[in-house]
Amino acid sequence: MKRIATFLRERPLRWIAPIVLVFGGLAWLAWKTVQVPALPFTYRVDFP
Amino acid sequence: MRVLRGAVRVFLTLLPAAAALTAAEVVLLGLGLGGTPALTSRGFDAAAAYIVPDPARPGGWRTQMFDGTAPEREVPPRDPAKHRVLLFGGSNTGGFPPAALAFALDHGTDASTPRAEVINLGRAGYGSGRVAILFEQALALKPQSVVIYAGHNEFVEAGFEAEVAEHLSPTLRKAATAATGLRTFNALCDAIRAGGGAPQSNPTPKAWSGEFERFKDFTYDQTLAQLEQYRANLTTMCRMARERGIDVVICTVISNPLAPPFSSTWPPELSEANRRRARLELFAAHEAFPKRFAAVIADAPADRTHAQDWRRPARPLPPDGKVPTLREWPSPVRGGYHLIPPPEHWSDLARELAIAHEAFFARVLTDAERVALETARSHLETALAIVPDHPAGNFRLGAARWLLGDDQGARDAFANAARFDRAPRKGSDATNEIVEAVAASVEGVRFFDAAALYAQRAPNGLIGLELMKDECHLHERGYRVLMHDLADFMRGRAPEEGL
Repeated sequence: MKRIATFLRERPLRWIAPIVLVFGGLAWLAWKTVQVPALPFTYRVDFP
Repeated sequence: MRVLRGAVRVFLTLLPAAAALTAAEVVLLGLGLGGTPALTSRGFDAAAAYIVPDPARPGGWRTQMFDGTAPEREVPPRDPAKHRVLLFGGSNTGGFPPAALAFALDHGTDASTPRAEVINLGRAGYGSGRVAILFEQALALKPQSVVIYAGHNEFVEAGFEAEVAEHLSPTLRKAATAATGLRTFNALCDAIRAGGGAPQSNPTPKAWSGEFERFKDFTYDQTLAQLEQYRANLTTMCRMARERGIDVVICTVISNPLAPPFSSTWPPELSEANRRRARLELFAAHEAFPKRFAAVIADAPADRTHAQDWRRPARPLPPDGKVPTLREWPSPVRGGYHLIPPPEHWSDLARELAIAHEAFFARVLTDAERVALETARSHLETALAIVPDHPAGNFRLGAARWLLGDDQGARDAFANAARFDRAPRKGSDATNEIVEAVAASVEGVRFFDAAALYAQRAPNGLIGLELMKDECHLHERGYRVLMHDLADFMRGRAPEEGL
């Protein structure tokens, strides 16, 4: 535990960077995903 | 020792991120957020739930596949006294009246025969890819019979799938699908959506019409490769159902042979010199073709009729009062205005095309037109000697042969035009032969050759606008007649008895 605390205190960039990467990556992927129509069918092939 | 130290360092580096993600998951679980997986496709994914249990009716199901364009199907719990029939396919199947099929199936049966319960799961735009996903899920409805009528939409649907891939590459789609297991990811999707940060594309009706154009540069080999997926999808569906002892009826699809092909590319192996020669012959044939019949062979998007061209609000006929006489079909189809809405509901395009087709079928030619058509036919035959599988060339040859009185030659050329179309929006002999082969390859599958039945009934063996709204859709009354034919087939009756 002491070692982890030391690591967190002394090397903040080393553990903040993965957090930013993971959450940033998920946010980017979510952004890309919502641009794809999500429902099984969103096109009107039949005219009203 | 060094390796161990490195592993500890990596562990320490990743531990906070893992802890933060776990904390986020726990918090979202507590808040009840992010529990619904974000879908990453328009149904091209087994994770897309087309059919879900109906919470209002234990044992019942409901669809979620129409996106507000039609009422969702509410499927009651299975009634052992009924024979449940599910219909699968694209917009044609969607147009099948289930009550008419149920009535026709019950017609002439005694009280000991279970009453038919027909549920239509056809949806506009669906090709065999999405039908196969829906099909697997629909087996939960425990049907006794399934009917598959699909084959017009293979390139329409492939266009949709390609567009999904443009938004999200296959690799990213896999990553996103995996990420949907995280509440954090789903909650992020919900938040972005709610914030309007990334609006979903929601194309207008006009936008769909170009989907097939993604394939307009296909070579014929690429077209055939695409159709192999169709074969695989049909085979999968038939096997799934037969393994469960379900009665499977697979149908050929009815197409309009007079709808011109959509894409005519040159074979890649054709030399530049031969390409030039063929192009000149095609051009000369087009120039020679009598202008009175030009509308019949016109293939620009604006020259094609669509479903809505036949059901406009009623309006007075134009002052010239010209109303084309449509060909009569034999009973039980009964053609002419029995099948088609009255001319007051037609668009100008539909009216012009119907007038052109009336002249086309009448085949009353002036001497000059006959000479011109013989010239056109000669040029087309020369072009097709160079490029036998040219779709537009075959189509125009069909028109010329028909006008010159060669019925069989015309039918063959129209069939070739459809078969060799590089990006078809209708079924053809190519797709219908696949249907027949699949039926033969999976034991117990019943093969209903609707295309052959209607070609046999059509005057001179050539289906036209009396039955078809466009390249692949029947007029509404055509669907009713087809339901009787289908019921006759399913009950093992002769085609005419059901009416």
